Amino acid sequence: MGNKRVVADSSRCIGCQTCMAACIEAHDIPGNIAAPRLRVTRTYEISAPVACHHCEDAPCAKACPTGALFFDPKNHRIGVNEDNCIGCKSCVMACPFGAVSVATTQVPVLMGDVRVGSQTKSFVLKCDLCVDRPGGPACAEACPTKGLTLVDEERLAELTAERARATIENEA
Amino acid sequence: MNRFIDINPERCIGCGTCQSACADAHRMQGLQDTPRLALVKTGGISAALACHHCEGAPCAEVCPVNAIEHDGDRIHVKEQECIGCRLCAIACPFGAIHPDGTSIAGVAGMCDPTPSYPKSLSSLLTWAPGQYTCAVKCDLCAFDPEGPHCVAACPTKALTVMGGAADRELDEAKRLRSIENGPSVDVTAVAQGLSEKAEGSVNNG
Repeated sequence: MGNKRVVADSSRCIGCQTCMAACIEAHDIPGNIAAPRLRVTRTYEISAPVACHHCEDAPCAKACPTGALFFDPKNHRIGVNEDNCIGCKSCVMACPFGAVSVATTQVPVLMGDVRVGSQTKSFVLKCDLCVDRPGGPACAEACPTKGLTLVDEERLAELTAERARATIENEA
Repeated sequence: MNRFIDINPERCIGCGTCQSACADAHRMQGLQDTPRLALVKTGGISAALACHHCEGAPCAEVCPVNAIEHDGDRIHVKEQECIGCRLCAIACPFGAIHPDGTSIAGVAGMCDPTPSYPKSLSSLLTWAPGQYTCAVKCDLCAFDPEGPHCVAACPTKALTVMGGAADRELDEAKRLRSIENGPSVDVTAVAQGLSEKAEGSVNNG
């Protein structure tokens, strides 16, 4: 079974960034970082959010030296384990879509329960398909023009069949 | 975001000019004169490897004397404070930091003019009598406002300084390319049409 991904439809996107806001809100939980995992990109003609493609042979997961990005066949995605991220930016360089970025935050250094200082912690920011969210990806739910769809293998097969049908109809 | 040196292996010809420039630049500053880039060659490819200046640098985290610090947009080793414990070299997943030391061979009254101990296979196991060991890694030539000497020296322009504005530009270019090459078919409409059809067939049935 292949990976799932959120597909953006540039003909429907109005560039309102509601998906980014929904993404921030969905990840605004302790132990995570409130930053968008997808980014609305505009040219003069079109706009569309760019999110992780969850590549089957993901270059980001291959480049990661610490397993912060990993192949997660159980959830049909490229998984993210922020705790392991050291912020080396190898994934950022490897991704051909510009869908991965790295952010930093200050975390407390504890000695027992006493805070003795703070240190810089890096977080890899990449779509995690909101696997812990019951309603599925927050961005797809929030999009006012229904421009974002979670595409799985089944949907992809339907799409392929539909296009094949369109092809023979055009040829006839 | 920290800056770092990015290598394009397709351009690298494995000439070692970056290493020479690195060693020379640091020697002139009175720092360890060993090259801070590792030139890695396999049967098919060659590339120089340098510090990634990780945002949450594991080398800085394990350093027991805080000789490795976050300094603006880079990770900096204070060579004078390093105690040579080699923990950073063990923690780094890239092999971009290594212990090195200045040989005192030939210093008057100190040692034989030529070292008589065998050279170790691993720099982690190197030890020489009287030699002060310290950690050495890319410092982005922060002492020179003109930037890293390896980048300027590379004859094939295989090295570039990434991070900061350059990185954001590259990411934006990648994103623009991916929306311009995005699906030309209305995926959502097709999907909705299919589900409406499915609902219709259920209702009709």
